[in-house]
Amino acid sequence: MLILVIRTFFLYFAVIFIMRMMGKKQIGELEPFELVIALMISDLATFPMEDIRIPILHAVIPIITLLFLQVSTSYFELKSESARKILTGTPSILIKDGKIDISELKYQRFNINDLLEELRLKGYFNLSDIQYAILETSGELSILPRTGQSNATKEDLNIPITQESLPVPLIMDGNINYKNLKLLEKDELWLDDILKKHRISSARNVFIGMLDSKNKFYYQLKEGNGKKI
Amino acid sequence: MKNIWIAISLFTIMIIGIFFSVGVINHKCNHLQDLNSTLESYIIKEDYQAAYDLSLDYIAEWKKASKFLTIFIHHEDIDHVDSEILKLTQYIKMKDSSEGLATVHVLKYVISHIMSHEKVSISNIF
Repeated sequence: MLILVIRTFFLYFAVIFIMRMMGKKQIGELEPFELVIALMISDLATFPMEDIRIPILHAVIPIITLLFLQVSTSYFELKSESARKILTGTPSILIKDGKIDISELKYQRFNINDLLEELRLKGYFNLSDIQYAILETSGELSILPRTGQSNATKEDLNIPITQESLPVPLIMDGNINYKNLKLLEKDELWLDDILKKHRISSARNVFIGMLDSKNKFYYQLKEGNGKKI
Repeated sequence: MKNIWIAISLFTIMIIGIFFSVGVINHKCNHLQDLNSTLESYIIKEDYQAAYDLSLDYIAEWKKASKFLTIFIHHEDIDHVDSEILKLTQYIKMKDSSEGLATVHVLKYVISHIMSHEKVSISNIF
């Protein structure tokens, strides 16, 4: 029985390692060949997990081979347009200039209800609001609304804006993040000054302390309430 | 790019490892097949004492080989050989040549089956 636990541990970490090697896309939106690989890996890993008569290598060898295939396929896709077309396919335009392409819809076996549902999920309830709808190779629908229907931006409204920067966490669970301090070209003394200004005796008392996107210090004490200054 | 190199290196190491392992599996299996042939000839000649001694050696050899083989081959094949060897020693002890010969043949078949499983052939692929 214990051997099952050990094998599961081994296969779990082996699959995590392989999935990490395959990149972020494998975890999020999958291309057809990536979906195939993800399904195959999950199946390959479960058989030796439950049947101890199967050598673990019988799972590891195909999984490594799949990793190699996935990585080389991605590489060829990166380098060659035709490889990309064969392996991933091309996006399909389902709505062009506000008109549904019925033949394309049939070809993609995408019925009108599916299309309307996807549009509703994206926040478009009227077909007339849409200029272009493109079915991406990952199965996601991208929509370009008619210009009059798209959201007004700050630029459209002539509102003066300043570019916000990324928030930088400086203290997490009482630990100072020296890497981020270095990134900001600041040192511990600077951080101590800020903490003193906010009457915090030590960074250890801070649950989260960060420079937000407006360059203001935001913190929450371990036992206290959130404060924004 | 790092991931590509890790994947390629892993695959290359794996392929080299496979070639090496197949070589070792074949070597060990060929040795066991030689023992099978010798056992068979002893049983045919009705030299049961020599056959019995050899069958005990066979068990020792198999124990050593199976430790390595379990990493690569289905454990059902290992169990099959285990049970056939144990039967063989008793058939030889009881001087039962027909059962003894039949068991040696089964052993020969299972060992060759283990070797043939590693061969790159159309039948194995499909």
